[in-house]
Amino acid sequence: MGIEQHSFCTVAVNKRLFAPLLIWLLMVVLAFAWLTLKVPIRSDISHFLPAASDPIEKVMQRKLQEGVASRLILIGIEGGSLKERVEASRQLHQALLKLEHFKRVENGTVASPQVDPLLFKYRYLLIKKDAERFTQQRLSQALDQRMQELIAPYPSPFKKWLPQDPTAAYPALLKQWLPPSRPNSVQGVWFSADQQRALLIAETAAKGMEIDRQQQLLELIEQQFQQVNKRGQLTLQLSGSGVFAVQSRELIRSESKWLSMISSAVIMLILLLAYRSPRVTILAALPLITAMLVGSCTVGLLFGELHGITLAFGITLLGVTIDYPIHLFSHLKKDETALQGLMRIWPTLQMGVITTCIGYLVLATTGFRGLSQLGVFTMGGLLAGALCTRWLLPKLMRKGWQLTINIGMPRMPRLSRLLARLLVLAGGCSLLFVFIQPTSIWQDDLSSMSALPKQLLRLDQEMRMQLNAPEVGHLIILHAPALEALLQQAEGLESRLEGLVKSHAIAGFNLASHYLPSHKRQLERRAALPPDRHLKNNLEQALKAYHFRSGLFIPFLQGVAAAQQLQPLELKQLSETSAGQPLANLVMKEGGEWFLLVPLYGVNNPVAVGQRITAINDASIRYLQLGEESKRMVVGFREGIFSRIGWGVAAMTLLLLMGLKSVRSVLKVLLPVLLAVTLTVALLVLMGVALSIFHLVALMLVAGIGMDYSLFFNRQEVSEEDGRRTFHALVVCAVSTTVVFTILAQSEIPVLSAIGLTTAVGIVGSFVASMLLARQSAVTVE
Amino acid sequence: MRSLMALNLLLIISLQATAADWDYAELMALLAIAEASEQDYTETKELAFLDAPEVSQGRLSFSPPDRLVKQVEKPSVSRYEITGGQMTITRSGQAEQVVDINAYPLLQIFIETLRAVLTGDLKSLKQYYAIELTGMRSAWQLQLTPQDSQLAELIDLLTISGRDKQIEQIVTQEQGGDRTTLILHSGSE
Repeated sequence: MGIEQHSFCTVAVNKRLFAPLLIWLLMVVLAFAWLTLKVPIRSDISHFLPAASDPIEKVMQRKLQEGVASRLILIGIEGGSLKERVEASRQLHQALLKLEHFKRVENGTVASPQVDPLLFKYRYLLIKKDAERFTQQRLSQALDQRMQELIAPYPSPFKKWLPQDPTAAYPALLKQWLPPSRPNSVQGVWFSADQQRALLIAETAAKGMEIDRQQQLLELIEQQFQQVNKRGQLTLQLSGSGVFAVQSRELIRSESKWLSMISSAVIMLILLLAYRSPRVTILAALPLITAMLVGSCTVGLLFGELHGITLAFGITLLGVTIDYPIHLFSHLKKDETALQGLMRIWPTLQMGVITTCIGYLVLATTGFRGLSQLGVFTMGGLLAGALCTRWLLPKLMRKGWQLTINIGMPRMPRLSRLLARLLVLAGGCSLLFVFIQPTSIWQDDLSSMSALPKQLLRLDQEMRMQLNAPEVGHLIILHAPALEALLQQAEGLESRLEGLVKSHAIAGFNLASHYLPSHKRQLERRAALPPDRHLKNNLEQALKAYHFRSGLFIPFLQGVAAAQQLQPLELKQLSETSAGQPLANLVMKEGGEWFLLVPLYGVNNPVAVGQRITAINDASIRYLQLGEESKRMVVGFREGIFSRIGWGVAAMTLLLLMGLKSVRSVLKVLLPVLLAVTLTVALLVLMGVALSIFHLVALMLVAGIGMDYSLFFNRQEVSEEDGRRTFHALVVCAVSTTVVFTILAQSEIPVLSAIGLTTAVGIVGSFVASMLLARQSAVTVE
Repeated sequence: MRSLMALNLLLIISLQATAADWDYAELMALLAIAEASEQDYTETKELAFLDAPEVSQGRLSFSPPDRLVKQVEKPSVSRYEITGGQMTITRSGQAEQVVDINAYPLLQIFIETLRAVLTGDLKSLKQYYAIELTGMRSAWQLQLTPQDSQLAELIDLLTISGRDKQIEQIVTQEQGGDRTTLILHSGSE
């Protein structure tokens, strides 16, 4: 602390330094204030999914982001005795039901059935057609059953509806609407098959991506659970999209905190050791701070928001800007001003910055919103860091400060020539090795992008399976411009799906037309209702065997007669009933087109499902396997990015050619970079790492930094001292960068550790390759 | 004079309290000596929906702690067996039906009431009902008024009467005037 104060006091006293520093500080404060006040930080992983192109992909994405699936919290209770778990589930269920934050809380307990007047009125149009329902024989059977229920030794909840509904059409309708498969249950409460985990589901009113609200809800559940868990024997398990979002944010926050703290400390230490000056060490941080703020502001201005992952990665990627002041410090000679020293290396530095920026331009133009943010962030940051080094740092350097450097690069021409050749050979072998890999070296599973540790994902999968929730991955999707046509199509699909259930290809399915039959079907059912006289006659015959009070069933006759006057039920009306909640998951309107989603349960034979759907030969019905689909999207993106990278490399080469004015020089600069990237990929593949998009980003970072190293190593040195200084600068750069990324590789977040590992390996590769290959002859940047 | 009246009043109150408590405690203690029993019964249901009362007959058996069987013989054969948390319903001409009692809170309370009465479980009864005991040991009457709102929607009043440890009659007064009278015939124990 004392050191910092001392150095800043000196700065403050010097009036010449005061103005630029003040302006800089003012800008920093303003930028920081604007960012904290005006730019929201997002954290949904969907930003890192490719932008949807066709309407079905859009529907899928919306479903992922806003659908009920995203609003479910899966709750597990373990520990204690079976009785305690049952009791805890009941109490927690009761406690959560009282809170308005939840749209629905279920633990298997059946509430006493409520009769919805609208559904009751429409029961004969909604329930599956049964031509026999009103025959004398069936009415007789129904009356017999009702009589049995009346004299049963327990109260019947439907008793008071007997006069209106002797055929029990309404209870049958409710039964028809039960989900196709239900979880295992113990004493009326959902349990895993081994009875070790009591299970509940809560649907939050807040969307899964509203992280602050989700976090509140999780805390609420935790609190309620603590009250239930008086003996402290039970443990609570929470999962679901919202839970993931909250946990990811917590993880990213805590990880970036300790990672940045350790990294900063280590870099400070390295710089202090290298330059033995507290002031220089602090000055080295200015371009980095500027870069981070400008990067954030650029994204804020262009996107109106900043993604948490962009920020976390971006800061990592901008760590490179610390290299710029290092080059300046190491190259400063005796008897020259900081500006003079800077101008000597500026062309090389500039070239490095611009070529790296081209790399990130590739990223900025991708369809992944998150990745384009990352590209913009890094580009803006790199430029700002370079400009800060160019315009601000020289003004703040103490006059006459320079470092005496005595240690140069070890000169062992024969050995380095040998090593260089070996390196080129190794590069060639690596390239071959990567190309002959029997399996794809790419990891295209979207879940690999999750920030969460694998055990959490496994818990989620386990609970989903135990709850018999529909398979997230399998979906039949239909679309049409009109809802009526769509419902009719769904009704046509029903028999095919039932066939699939019979052949055990799937365990069940959920069709919107179960809840809302098409107008056509409702009208058919209406037309099938018996004429009043006919029904009355049948009922009178059936009633002869029983001593029901005369005239008791007049409301029934009236109800059937009234049903014959009903207009078909509309989606809007049905949405306000208890059927509205399941229906909302099954019907969607997107851009003037209606979509019907058909979740499948227990898919044993996806091939059979696919064949059956293809056999319909209708382009508006599709069987989606979400896992496959998102893989396809990722592969498409990757292939897209490769062509973009091709253009990027072409642009870089052109730029280098303009700067170096010689094809030979360009090749000399590019060769070590290519070698480093190839070696890194080969090493990762050898380690059994499947490459994801984030590895690709890290490789771009490696290429950028490698380019810097290569340009500097290949510089035509005027004197031997220049050579020593360049070597010193690059050693400091390489050591600090490698150390920082090695720290990053320790992160618990898979993507961060992927970037860390890849970059650390790549940096060492770049440094060694540039050093060995550059020694042959140098090139000049003009 | 006034103090004498107060004393009198106090005496009466405490005497009554003692009398009631004594009966109450003893009744429960008597019932608590739950033993396996099997009795014939006659059940009369007077329902608004029916022209005439529906009378059924059969046997009711109880084996402690929680197995209850109601075997209906007339007018048609059916059987309800409750063991632990399950009720198995067997009706002539229908497949056997197993119901998880705990999944239906109302059914659960109803069955718990029956068991509590049979085993003298005062604590359970107090959870759901306001209890009033009248009469004497040789002819007592226990009135249970539901306090649980869901239960109260179905049942107005449960009246159980008996002699010593013998339950003789259970009357269920339902909302809307329906009444079920279950008479247990002693002598076939």
